[in-house]
Amino acid sequence: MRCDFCGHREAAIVVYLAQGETEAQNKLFLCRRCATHISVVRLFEQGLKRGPIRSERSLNRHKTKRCPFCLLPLSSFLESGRLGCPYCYSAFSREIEKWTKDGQAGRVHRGSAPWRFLQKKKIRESLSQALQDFERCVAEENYERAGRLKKLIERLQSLL
Amino acid sequence: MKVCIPWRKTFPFLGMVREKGRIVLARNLAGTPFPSSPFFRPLWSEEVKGRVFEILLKGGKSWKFTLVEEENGVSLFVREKRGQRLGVLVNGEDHLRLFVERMSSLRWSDFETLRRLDRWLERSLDYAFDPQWGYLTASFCWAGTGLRVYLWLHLPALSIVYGEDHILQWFRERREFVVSGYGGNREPIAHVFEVTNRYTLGVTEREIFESMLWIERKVARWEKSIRDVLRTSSLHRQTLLEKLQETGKDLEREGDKKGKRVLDFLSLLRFGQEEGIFDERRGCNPVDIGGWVQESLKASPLRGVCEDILEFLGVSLGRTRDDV
Repeated sequence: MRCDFCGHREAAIVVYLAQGETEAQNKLFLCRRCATHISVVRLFEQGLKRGPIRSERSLNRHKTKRCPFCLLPLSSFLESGRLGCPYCYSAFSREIEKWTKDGQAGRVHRGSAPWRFLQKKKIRESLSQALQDFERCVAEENYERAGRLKKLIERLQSLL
Repeated sequence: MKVCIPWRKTFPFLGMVREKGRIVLARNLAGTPFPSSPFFRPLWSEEVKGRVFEILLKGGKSWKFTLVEEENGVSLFVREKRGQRLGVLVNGEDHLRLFVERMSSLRWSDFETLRRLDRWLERSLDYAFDPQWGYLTASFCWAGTGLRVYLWLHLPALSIVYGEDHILQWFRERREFVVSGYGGNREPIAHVFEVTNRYTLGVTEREIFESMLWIERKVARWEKSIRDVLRTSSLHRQTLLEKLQETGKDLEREGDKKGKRVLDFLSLLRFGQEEGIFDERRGCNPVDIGGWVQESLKASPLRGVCEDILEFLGVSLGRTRDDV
């Protein structure tokens, strides 16, 4: 049995609540660490009234998590479903991924891409190929070709 | 000002389903907060506006866009050509919403035009893009292709025969579509159904467009077959006429000015007349309907969509025409 609060550690302590309506609601399974750090009274008052304990835990996390660029809090994103800036996608990627499981046809974009992005992708691919060739040429002591490749690598790096 | 109903003596094609299609692409600029964000300050707004205006007004001579609206920092550029309305909404929900719409069925050529415009803008603007999430949009429901295809279908025959709930259920069973009433309302008004694609991530643009085309054709064919039955059977014609007259009388007696019932009635009337099921002048007094519609426009919570629906049904607001 996992801890009702943190959700990942093994539960070691069971707390019986006198006011639980159903059998499932009047027990709290906690791990040793959570049991020592968290006030059970607070958990009962705030967590159980709203439903599962985990929602309370996640609410606390939502209050603190923010996008590093636009400072949009995660709670605001979860309420409105709107993101603040392009960087929010990487900041809240875990939450968006959860939603894409049910809400979308796949988890990775399959459609068209901007021309600039495709161009950069091609350059990166050529660059990695050139770097591999360069290392091989150096190992084979083919310095003439390695020199040509070095110039090509410099040119490709300047394009990125 | 009165409502006039420009009835036509004969409709071009019997059994033609009224349709409207709109294709929308959502795009945002890299490294800039989205307009819907509380952090999107006027400074950002001006920056985006400046960059887009410069391209659309100075560089876009071949597109011939005209600025038709500018309100609260949101600008709309439109070009109308041969029934096609191509536009760019700047600083709406996203930095750019490119759209193309037409009062007819979906066309691949419209989609191609929109993609051409997108590629042309892309040359000068750096779009926010991520290899996993695709085009980054303010609402993550649009992430991926950023493409939404909206389709509005007037389905009075299907609504009469099967009921609106059954049709909605039929659409909902197909998971890849979202169906609602006009303007995203819960229930269809004037038998107009709004269908759009649910998925934008994990599918290609072509797949989205083709699935929408498939549903459009399937439903239109279905509606046409029911219309044929209604048109050819005298019993059905009589039943429909009686139903319409009863509804009209109920509306007059009850003084019901709620938008949906009036517009549903108007939709049936329009449908019956277009299909030649009953005579153009029978069933009601168009001036009275005009009055009802005007009343509903004043008081109805559907005010925002009423005018769009009337336009969609081919009913125009203006002075009363001589023939009414």
